[in-house]
Amino acid sequence: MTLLPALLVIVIVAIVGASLALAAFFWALRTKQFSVKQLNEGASVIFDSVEHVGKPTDQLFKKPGLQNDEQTSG
Amino acid sequence: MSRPPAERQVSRTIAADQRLSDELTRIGIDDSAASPTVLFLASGVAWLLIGSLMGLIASVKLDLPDWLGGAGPITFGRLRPVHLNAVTYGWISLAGSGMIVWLMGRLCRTHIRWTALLFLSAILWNIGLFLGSALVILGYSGGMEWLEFPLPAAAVIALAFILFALSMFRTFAARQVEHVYVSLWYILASLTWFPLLYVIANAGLYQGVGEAAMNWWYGHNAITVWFTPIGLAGAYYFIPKVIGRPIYSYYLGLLGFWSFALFYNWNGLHHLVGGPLPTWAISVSIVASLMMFVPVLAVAVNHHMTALGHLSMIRYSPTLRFVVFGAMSYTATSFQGSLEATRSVQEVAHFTHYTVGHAHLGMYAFVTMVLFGAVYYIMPRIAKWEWPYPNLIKVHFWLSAAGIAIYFLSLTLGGWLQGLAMNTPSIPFIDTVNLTKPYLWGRAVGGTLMTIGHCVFAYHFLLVIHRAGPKRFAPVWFRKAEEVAAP
Amino acid sequence: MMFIRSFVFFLGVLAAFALGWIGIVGVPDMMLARIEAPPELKRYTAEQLYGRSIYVREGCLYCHSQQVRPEGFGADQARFWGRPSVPADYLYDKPHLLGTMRTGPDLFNIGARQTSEEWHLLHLYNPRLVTKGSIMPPHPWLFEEKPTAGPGEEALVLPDSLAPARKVVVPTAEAKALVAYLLSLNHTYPVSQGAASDDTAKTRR
Ligand code: HEC
Ligand code: HEM
Repeated sequence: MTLLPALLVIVIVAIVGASLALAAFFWALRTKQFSVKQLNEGASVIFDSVEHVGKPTDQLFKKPGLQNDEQTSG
Repeated sequence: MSRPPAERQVSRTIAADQRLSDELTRIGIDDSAASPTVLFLASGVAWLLIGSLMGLIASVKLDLPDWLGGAGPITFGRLRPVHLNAVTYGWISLAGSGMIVWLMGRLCRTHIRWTALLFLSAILWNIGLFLGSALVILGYSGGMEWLEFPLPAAAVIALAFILFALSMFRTFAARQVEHVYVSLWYILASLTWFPLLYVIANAGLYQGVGEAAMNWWYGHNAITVWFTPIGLAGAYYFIPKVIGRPIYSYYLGLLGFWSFALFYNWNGLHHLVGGPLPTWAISVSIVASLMMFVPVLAVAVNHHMTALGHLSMIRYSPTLRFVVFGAMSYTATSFQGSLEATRSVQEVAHFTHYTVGHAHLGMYAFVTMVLFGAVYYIMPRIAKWEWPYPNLIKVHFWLSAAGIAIYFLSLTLGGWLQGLAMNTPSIPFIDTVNLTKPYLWGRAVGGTLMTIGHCVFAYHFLLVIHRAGPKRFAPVWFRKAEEVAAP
Repeated sequence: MMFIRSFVFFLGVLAAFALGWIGIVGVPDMMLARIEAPPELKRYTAEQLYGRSIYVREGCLYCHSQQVRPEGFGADQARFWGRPSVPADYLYDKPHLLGTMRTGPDLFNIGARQTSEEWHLLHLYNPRLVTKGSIMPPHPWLFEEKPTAGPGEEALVLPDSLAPARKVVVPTAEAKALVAYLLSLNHTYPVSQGAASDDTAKTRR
């Protein structure tokens, strides 16, 4: 009964979706979206020169007087 | 710790004016987000109190059904939906939006645009919540789970969300960084998804079983497109930021995001396993639920590897403590959920309190705990006032953690036994009710601890807003712009 | 470049959402669109509809499901809760009330299982009058306390401990409508599983 039209919709949608996904994937490869440089830069945007990598930014429970900058632990 | 010496060298030699300018930029951005963020967070905290109280009353009503039993507006069947709406569309959504506003400024490195829309949004949102809750209490529920608010209230909330999203997209368009951080992917996706989802679901397009399919597509997708992204955006930002270490693998982040988007939008019908729907459709949702192992593992490995070797920082950082608890709960909830979706588990667990236990593991142990962590990080930076009583934070943490543990364990065990008993036809139905009673009491105890924790949290929150309590000088992680600029 | 990247991003995000919507809501709904109502499935009367709205208002949904699972999946069949429900049973339902909790029993066939109006009224007034240990909420606001029952009204027969002093308790129109709705929940008529939906019933297990 209504199975055929339903199948048709699924198939068309699947083909369109899959081709879009493939196109996006090849675009990403071609423009080097997955390059190590891209990825590392992306991961570092939450830091700046003051709150830089290696500096913890929240140590409220630490007793005052302990050195709190450049904390190394663990 | 194992940072290459070269990197350390570089950070040391950056010119002092660079540091000054970076710090002033960051403070300026935080300040631009301050008022709308506080408005959203404070409303969220208010709804947390209202919602917890409703949940607690509803919970005790299952233990003492005749308690407050004389009036319609406070019957279980009306308080329960108000609880759900208050904690999800109230607390999580509003506090989540506050977090998003603040993160948006930080991640786009620019001040927040169109803040007037944000104020309007927060006000409308609160009006919508009040209207919706009042209407449900007065007996005008829409009748579908997660969609109880009748149209007038839903329309106000939809409008509020759209205004919120507009301001956020405008800020995103003005971003001063090339790279869009992982947290921002989740936020941008949810800003796109949620208004669509909410409007479609409230449009009344379906009837009968089709409507049931829509209802649970909506119910689970609200988690997919809004509540989970809030939690993950927070975890992806705060874990690396507090520790001071970039996320372990950005690549895993990408994989996790896209597999999440692909699979999680198909999960809804696992809420109707065994129901009168086409089998294939339910099977699709079950398969998609199992596929969720991919994004969940990607996120779990990523967060775990980022924190690895730095977990002792949990001792020092309130934020990290809550957020790591939340991130671990995300993994736990998701694993549980994937397994729970299978037919053999659903056969037992589907109609029982087990599901409620699972819901709180996700909405509380994961999202709510991450949000607590976020509030503990954000508030001092925008109020320029450190939390005056660190011990209150510890009390809050342990009340919440112990509360949810008791809550979850009681209902998981009680619900499972309930399901087994229900599937044993020789056991009279009323015995499946009697059997759950001690576990329902257990839930009430857990819920009481959580609620007390929320009161502590709200009190402390008020102190910070009013910059009250003892002033703390060290360690201080934030300063006013004047203090930085002064020689 | 930034623009293309954003474009691809939002396209992907929208596609992921739309695919899910079409896949698990649109297509099932399309397939169910042409099922026909079984001849014995009656439309709700005005009173039953009113009762249904009270069922929604009081949130009975949060403790009671209205869907019966097939043999081999749970004990619904062995508990005699009715034949497995099929999509055609729900054609006139809006909002749907399938439910996800069974803190109380499934009610899809309560009208066939418990036919006594009196029982239902007592149970609604206070469930513990008829079922010891029940945790269902009482619903006294669906009833009125009066000195005496008016013409055509029938007072509840209450034990002394629960009866108000020198007054009788009579059901309001709301209580009667709710019971009328409960009694209408009777889906015991046979369905040819084929007419309901080709593959729903067959493979549901
Ligand atoms: C807090 C959960 C809860 C809510 C809300 C609730 N019930 Fe119940 N209900 C139960 C439980 C538990 C039982 C089983 C014990 C009993 O018979 O009272 C039950 C039993 C029933 C029964 C008898 C079923 C049978 O097979 O004998 C009916 C009818 C019923 N409920 C109708 C309703 C209606 C109508 C409402 C809304 C006005 C409602 N219930 C709200 C928990 C609930
Ligand atoms: C912010 C914290 C909380 C969140 C996000 C939350 C979320 C939820 C959700 C999503 C549900 C629906 C569950 C389902 O239908 O499967 C629910 C139900 C419920 N919650 Fe909470 N909850 C919170 C806190 C609490 C607290 C503190 C209590 C106190 C005991 C509580 C008690 C309940 C009860 C009694 C139900 C109804 C369960 C039922 O229908 O049997 N919740 N909550």
